[in-house]
Amino acid sequence: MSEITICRQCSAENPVGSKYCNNCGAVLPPGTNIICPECQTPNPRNRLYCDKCGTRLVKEPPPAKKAPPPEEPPAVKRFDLPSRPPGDTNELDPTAVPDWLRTGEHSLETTIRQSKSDDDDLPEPQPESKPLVRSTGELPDWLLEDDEDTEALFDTPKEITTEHDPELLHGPIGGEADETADSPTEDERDNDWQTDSDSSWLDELGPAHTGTFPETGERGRSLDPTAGLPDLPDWLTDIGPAHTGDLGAAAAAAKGSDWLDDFEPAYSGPLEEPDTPFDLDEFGFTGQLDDQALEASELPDWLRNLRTETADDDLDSEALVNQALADDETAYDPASFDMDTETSASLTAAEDLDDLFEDEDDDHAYEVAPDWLLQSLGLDDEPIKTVPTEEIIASLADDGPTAFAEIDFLADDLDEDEEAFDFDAFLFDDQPLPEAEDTPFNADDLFAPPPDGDEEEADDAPLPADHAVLFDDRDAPDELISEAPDWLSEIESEPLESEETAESDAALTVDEPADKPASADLWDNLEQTDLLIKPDQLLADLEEAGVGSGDFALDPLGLDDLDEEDEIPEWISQLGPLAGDTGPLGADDDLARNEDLPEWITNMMPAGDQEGITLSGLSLVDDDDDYADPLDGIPEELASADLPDWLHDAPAGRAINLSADKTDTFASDIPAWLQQTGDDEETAQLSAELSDLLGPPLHEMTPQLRRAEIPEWLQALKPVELTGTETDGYTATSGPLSDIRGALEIEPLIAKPRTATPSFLPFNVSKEQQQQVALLQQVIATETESQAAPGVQSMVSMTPAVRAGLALLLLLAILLGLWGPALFAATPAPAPAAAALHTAVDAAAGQPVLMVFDYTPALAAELDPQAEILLQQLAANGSPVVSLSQYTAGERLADLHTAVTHADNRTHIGYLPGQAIGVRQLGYCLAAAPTCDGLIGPSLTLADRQTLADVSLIIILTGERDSLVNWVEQLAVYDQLTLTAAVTQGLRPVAAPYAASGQLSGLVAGVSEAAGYQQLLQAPPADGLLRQQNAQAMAQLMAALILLFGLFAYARRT
Amino acid sequence: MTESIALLIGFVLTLAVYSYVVGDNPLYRLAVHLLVGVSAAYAAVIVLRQVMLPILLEVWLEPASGGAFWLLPLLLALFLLAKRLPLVSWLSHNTLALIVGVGAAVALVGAIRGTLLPQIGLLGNPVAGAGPVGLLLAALLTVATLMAFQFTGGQVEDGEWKRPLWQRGFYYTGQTVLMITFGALFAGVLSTSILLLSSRITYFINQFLQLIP
Repeated sequence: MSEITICRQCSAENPVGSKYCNNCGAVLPPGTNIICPECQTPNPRNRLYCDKCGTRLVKEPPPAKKAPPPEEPPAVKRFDLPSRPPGDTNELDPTAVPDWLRTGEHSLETTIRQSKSDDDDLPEPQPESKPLVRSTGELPDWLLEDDEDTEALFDTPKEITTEHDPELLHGPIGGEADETADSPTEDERDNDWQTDSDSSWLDELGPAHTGTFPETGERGRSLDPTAGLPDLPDWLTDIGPAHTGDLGAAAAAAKGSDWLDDFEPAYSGPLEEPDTPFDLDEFGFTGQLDDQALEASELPDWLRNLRTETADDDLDSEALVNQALADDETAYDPASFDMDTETSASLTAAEDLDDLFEDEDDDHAYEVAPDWLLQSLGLDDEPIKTVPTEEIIASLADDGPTAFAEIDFLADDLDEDEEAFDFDAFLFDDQPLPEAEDTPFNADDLFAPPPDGDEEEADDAPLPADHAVLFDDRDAPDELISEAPDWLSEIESEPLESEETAESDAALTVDEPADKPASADLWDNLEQTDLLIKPDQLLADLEEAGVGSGDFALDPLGLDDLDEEDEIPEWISQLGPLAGDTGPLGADDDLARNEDLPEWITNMMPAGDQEGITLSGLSLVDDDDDYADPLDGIPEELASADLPDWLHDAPAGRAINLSADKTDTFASDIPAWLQQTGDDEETAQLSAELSDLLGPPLHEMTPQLRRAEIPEWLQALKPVELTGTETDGYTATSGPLSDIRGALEIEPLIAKPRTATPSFLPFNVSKEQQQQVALLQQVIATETESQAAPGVQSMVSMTPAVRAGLALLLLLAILLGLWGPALFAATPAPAPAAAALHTAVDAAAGQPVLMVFDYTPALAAELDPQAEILLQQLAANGSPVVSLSQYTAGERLADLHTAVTHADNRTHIGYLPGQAIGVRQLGYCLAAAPTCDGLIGPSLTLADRQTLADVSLIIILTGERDSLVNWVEQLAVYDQLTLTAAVTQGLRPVAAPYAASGQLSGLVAGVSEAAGYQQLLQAPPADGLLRQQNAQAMAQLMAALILLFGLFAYARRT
Repeated sequence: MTESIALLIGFVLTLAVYSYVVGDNPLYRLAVHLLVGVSAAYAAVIVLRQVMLPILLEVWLEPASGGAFWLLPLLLALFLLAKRLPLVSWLSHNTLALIVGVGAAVALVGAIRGTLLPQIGLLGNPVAGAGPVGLLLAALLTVATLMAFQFTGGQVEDGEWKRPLWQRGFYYTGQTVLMITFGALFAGVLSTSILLLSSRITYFINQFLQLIP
């Protein structure tokens, strides 16, 4: 935009904002400006904000319409309010951050990145779905029961709704991203809720555990181990693959999870005949044996892989399992599972494999056996071989370790006798481990049914030594150890001291052999073949499945066996002080004696004397009829949104009562079970660290949660809209501090008037200065008055008419003087100066006379008569004439006049340049002819120079002062030169002093003196000259009258 | 015929010039421009013809005798032409300095020797004046006129600056002399102008009367 305004009248450029043209004063157009809506100040068009008040002049363009994204992209980090005053960071010790926190951070970032990369895999949100609301009355008592010693941070909700599931589904933080990637759709969740058998954390656990498990078309999960693992925390990721492939027995017990649904058929059928030597249904290979039910699409991948890999084998493996079931099925109580009705029905309809294999008829076998099973047995291509179950089991038992060590334990050659491993003993024997230390973890429970007898006996069953080796990570290669989580790698199993735990066959015992067993490589094999099940994860799976929760007294982390604090995993020891008097994890007698358990673990327990296990906050009550979902009773948005992924995956804190006096600012960000340890300063610090890692909650804070304490300095900056109260402080209205109270106001000090302060150095005004100021004021006032004179104003406006009238009056006077009465035509007496001139001319008779024609034709009317009279006199005296002029126009007049009177006796020099200098130079020639080499310009011949040297009289004909002065002043030094002048009437005042001083020997001024001079020549004055005199007199009279009239008029006006 | 056309053109141009009486008008401007143009052209021709050509001929034809003397003035004259060229306008500075300096010096010396000293010398020449009283009066009036332009000193009274008392007489006397002088000059100019008008009218009437057969 141009910064000028063009005037319409004169096209002059004026600055923007000018109201009047600087050139012609015309009113300028207002121009195109943007009027500020606030201060009404016009702003140039190129302004975005008002120059005066800063208000935005142009409305912000409306945001481009775009389809609202289904969910906001996950934010990695949000703004967290500081937990301590600024600068108070002395207590923060980076080295105090435990490994698990650092690991968690890494896992968080990894998970976030993974969640971003897996956005395409996210299920489409279904905003139209109606949230399902359930009453919390359906929750188990232990979830609703408050701890006496603590006060819940939030009240038990009355209802549980899934309306926030979409938020959690697309939550950006930690485990939410995992949920996004792995959690089912809302409809599926609704179904899960209705069946009360599915939980999100189980969903999240599922893929990690089922890296090799089949992809269930119903859930649509990707069970690719490489895809599923990054969604899990590190420790679960490390554990996950170990579970895969052989999680059958344990995972089959899980109920309600998708991936565990794949195992449901294996356990859904009641085992009415526990003595059945082999029932494939119980092992997990079951299902409806009809063709439709055994379609490959319904089979999990691991089963599909299984059958493929075992295609070349006999049914030895099945026989082995069958035998194992026959030995220990008494401890297996299928009724304790919450079987799905449909699955149970199908299981009931299934036939035993014994019957299948006992059928000698291949066709019958084909008809009965499912296709996949036939394929796995290699019977799809060739006639099936009937192998007795006992042989299968025996063969499998012989190759037990190897078979378990390899994922294709059913496919590998069972007939090899490379390993001297008693699989029967490995699985089911009660013989104690010779050189092993028991740990409260027994993976056998996942593979084998409970032993015969009642549950007590089953619990008392010792574990085989070789079996314990499976979980002895100390014998594992360093590589595997390094891949294992820290806590797992640091665990050193101790002999199980708890009798109850030791006696329970459900208690998984991790034995530490005194020396490396013969099957030392078994760990490696298991690690590589995903057969290894990490103890904590196994227990988690068990808890999820609700299998025998009351029958197990587990110490999932092996804490019972840890006598020394340094043996406790670092991350556990840093979480809080060990509380020895708190209740154990369900196993009262056993775990109660373990005083090394941290408080937070004991707090995880269900309240009171309920039996159950608590694993990382997962509480399973000993109630066969009520396998509580840990999510029950807690709104999902509260239960899952704030937890990190690694905690979220393990349903920690969902049954935890929070401390009443917990005033942590980040209560909503820190899992409840962590807040439980708020007494410890270090733990509180760690909690703050953790909350910083996790960020604020994504969902709206519920009223039950305590509000964070905002520091005063931050509270002061809170926008007014949020505080609802107006304060006296300044509130910025624009800029980066907009709506911030208490900001320092920016004000232009110059524009803001302030009270003048007395100056310490008073300004002293002198009298002279005062006089000068008064004089200037007076002059200005006089000038103003003169400009404002009404008479002058009126005269200016009447100038053309007055001028025309005056001109007419003067013209009439002239005409009257020329042809009217000769009122002033009397011949005047010659003036003394004129007489002196006449005398000087006569004195120069016969000598050259310099005639200077310094006048233009404009003055020819007054000077020409004088020139003619003088030339006639000179001609009469016989004086040659030298003519020149300082005016170019006068040179021609000189030539004309001299040519008339002195045609043969004249020297016409012509134009004399240089004015005073030229006259000075001519004076040298006139006064000292020998030194005159010539004049500037005109070339002089020797005769000319001699003529100049002979000149004694100079007659100056001029009407200009400068010309007269130049001649008089420059030639005054030459006394031998006689200067005379014939000037106009107006130049007389200038020439008279020179005539009085004698510098001019003669002077004739004006027409009247010329007429008097003519009388000296003894000639009558010319008629024309007298008429001119009369006309001039008449005109001067008229002029005098006009001046008097004007003076009178002016005096009358003023 | 030619004289008649010339007379007619001269008459029209004269009326055009006198038309300024009623205000500025195109005829007046045309006549003025024509007068200035013709005068300038005539002056240029006169200068070339009577000044430059003789010098150039002398330099060309008689370089040894005196023509070389004109080389420096010609060079300085050329430098004057450079004044119109911004890049080399500085060349004209020396020439202008020379002209102004020499002209001022000549004028100053001439004024002192040709005007000031002779006018002061009148006091001792009783023949030329009206006597000692007249000369003394002339001196006092001259001093009074000069004192009229003196603005130093004085004091502020009632917010108005006033001259010292001893200066006030000279001030008012000087202002009177100035008014009389200006009136006399104006009267002389007016007389000359009226005479020029009457001469012009006489000229044209006489010429037109001559044209009448």
